Amino acid sequence: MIPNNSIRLITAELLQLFRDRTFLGLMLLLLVLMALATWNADGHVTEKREQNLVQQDIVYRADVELMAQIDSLHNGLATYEKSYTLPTSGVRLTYNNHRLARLPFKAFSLIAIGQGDLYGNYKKIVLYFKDSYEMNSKELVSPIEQLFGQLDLSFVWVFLLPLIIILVSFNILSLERETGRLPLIAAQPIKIWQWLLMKIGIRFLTICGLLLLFTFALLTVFGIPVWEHISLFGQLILVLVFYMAFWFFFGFAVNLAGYSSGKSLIILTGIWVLFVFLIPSIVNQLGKELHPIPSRLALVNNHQAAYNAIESDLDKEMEALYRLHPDWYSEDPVTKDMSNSTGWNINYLAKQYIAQLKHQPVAEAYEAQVDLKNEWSGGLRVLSPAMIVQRALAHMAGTSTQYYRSFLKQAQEYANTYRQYVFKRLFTNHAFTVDEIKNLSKFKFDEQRVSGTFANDLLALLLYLCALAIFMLVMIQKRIKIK
Amino acid sequence: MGTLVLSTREYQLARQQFTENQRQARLNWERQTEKDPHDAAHDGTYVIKPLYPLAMLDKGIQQYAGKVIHLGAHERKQSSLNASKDHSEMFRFGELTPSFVLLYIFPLLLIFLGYNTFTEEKERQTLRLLLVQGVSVRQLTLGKWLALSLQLLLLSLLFFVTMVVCYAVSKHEIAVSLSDWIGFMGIYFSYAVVFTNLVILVSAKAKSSGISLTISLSLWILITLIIPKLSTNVAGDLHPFPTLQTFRDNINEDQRNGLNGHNFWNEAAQDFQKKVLQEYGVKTIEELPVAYGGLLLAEGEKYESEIYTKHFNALRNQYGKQQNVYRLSSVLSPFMPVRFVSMALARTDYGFQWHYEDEAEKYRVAFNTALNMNIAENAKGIDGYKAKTSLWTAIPQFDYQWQSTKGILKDHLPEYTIIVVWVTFSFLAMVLASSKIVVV
Repeated sequence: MIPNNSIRLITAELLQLFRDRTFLGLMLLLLVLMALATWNADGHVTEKREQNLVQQDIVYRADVELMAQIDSLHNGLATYEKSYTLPTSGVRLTYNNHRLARLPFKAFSLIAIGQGDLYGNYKKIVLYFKDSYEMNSKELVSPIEQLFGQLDLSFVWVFLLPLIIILVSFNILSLERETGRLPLIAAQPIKIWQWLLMKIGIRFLTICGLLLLFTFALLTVFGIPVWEHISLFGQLILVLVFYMAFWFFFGFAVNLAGYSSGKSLIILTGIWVLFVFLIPSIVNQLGKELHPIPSRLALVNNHQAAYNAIESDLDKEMEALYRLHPDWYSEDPVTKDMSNSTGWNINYLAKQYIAQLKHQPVAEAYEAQVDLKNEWSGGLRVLSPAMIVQRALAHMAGTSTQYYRSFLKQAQEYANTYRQYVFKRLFTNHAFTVDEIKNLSKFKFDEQRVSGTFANDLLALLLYLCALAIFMLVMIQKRIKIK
Repeated sequence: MGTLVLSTREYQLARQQFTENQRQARLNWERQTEKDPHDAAHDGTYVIKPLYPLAMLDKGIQQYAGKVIHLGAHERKQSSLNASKDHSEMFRFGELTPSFVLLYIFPLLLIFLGYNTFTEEKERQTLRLLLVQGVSVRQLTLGKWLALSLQLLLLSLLFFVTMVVCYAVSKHEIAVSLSDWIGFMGIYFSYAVVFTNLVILVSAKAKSSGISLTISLSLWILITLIIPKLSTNVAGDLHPFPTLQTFRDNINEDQRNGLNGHNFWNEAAQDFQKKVLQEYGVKTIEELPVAYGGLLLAEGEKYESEIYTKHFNALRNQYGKQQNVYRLSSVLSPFMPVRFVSMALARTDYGFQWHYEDEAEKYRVAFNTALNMNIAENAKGIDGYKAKTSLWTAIPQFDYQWQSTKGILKDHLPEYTIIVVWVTFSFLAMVLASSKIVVV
């Protein structure tokens, strides 16, 4: 049972809060920023969805055209003078009908653009470029936009929400003291720290409630069926509530310590700079120092050197290739004739394939080093709740580095399987049929391969809160004398 | 100061990698076997973006723009290998660089140092005491401004001296000109002066230190965090780049009916053939003293490059429109012009990226022309012609010439003007606001 006196105090405090212009102004600012961020992220995600559809359509149309041409050829309705234009030719399939790997968008993809402005959500699986073996994906984006980053909900919550919390909590007690009202509060039948806890608690609960409302409303307005993903929404809110609690704890501690308004604000801003700027930057820097990644340029050179070496001893390399893939060997003279498109391309693609095989261990070691560095710095996210929340949000949105790198790895594996399927037939001058084109393998992203972070993130935030709570209790126990 | 030391170390490592990888790329080119020069052109070579010494102070877009360009036949490629993709999302919190300290932390320090310049006097009621001693409000304001500026100057000097020492102990192939240094220091000093003016202005108007600090911090958030992000997002929305697919489709459309070096039969190729026959005064290709295929490839390369130049220029024009939005937002945030000039002087901005890619494209055309003309001059009547390996070494290396500081300053005149306006108006506003202080 809450005593009547407390209910009166809480009601009075709530009324006062909703009459406070600064508080209302800050809440309005939060709403405006969240709305702008959602709108911006929605535009970004919509554009990426459209790009995916365009790419899907290109592959579909090319396949339909190819199958129609094979059909016409079989029915004697069309003839082809040049071998590389023959629709049944593996050369034609290799060059004109690429495959597509698509990374599906998650339901809450617009809460965090994350690494989405660096990576595409699709990758063309082409068999004829040297760089098709590399883990990359390109789009035309201004690097200035990438440098400044995108305004999304993640930015508002991770960077700006703590500042709003600081601004609504830094001077609760100091203001009373500076305006000479503290003796009046001290005269009430409630301890100062309890009075402060109540004030802070009401602010915390009010902001939590408003944030939940704003988030639910904005996601719904931008077409996300929140009810269908209520468990994910619950996870999101839980992470945000824990993060807000972290900052309110600091607000409480600084008030309890009895500093002046100015000093309290400086301390809280300092803590904000520490957790939101300095610790993450130091972790990034440490990651680079302790797990340096060799230059990607060295990878390019290594691949090129492997390619040159193959060219200087091609016959031997081709023999080794056929020993590795005996079913790729054919006695068909067309496959040996360099003046013929099939023969020339078998030679050209084989060189690239062998170069890739030789280059693969170096490339894999490089990618493993990148993963190691990212895992290491990911582990150190526990040093700052801001880092924990940023990563948790990117993960919920499916826009974390982990997601994109897993997607590219899976796309690469798919490309290898598909390449082997096509090359076996191309190298033996196989004539592709309509059924074979129709049944070409398709890429499917396996989300299970991306390990979840929610439980760990929540636990880390909870530990922070426990540590702060213990700190608070110690402070209260020591009966810090409030000036 | 620590950021300076770290950045210097990182810069030295990056330079070492650049030198080694550029040397290796050239060796890969020179160590090719005897082959058809056009096949060699298709395999191509790589050029790597060099680093200007001031890049150790401001990394700019380095992590987001590609580092290497593949120069091959028929196609102008964008820079690739975006370093930011090798980092986790935590990289977006920023890097500890000198420019980060100067752009974000320095103004924050100024706010902490100066937020109570006037409010403390008001709260302690010492303002009246000062004024009765015969000091005018204007004199008091200038005195306080000078005191804060002096602290700022000392901090800046310490920072810049360390910066110059770090530069001096590093090995550089290019010397940074004095105008670069002055420009760099000047722009950051002006930025700090703007913040000094704003902090004192707010302190003069605010009723208490708490309010003054709250307003100053809000301004800092707005100026350094919200406006830059908003303006780049708005610029991208108002003047978006085409998708890569559209960009390529448009180029392909333009190329469809033109010369491409491999198509002997289309109308453009027929016209070119007539022109060549006429020039040499012969009637058939067989009568030509040179291999016609080489001439067609060389001409095709020039034609294709023109198309690429046209489309890349359109892309650049689109960026120019985005840049206008950034300039417009500079009226609201002095962070914007300072950030752009700083990156430009460090040669880590988009302007440098464009300049480098344009120069690389000119080299690519010359590189392809040399290879294709070798075919024209030597392959006549030889089936499966292969050039000797001496051809690879005979082709000169790409020698990039840096943009001059004068050129950069000219390109960024609007940014400089806006900064001067910010310094002047914020100073005047500060003086005006302090002169209206009511002493009770």
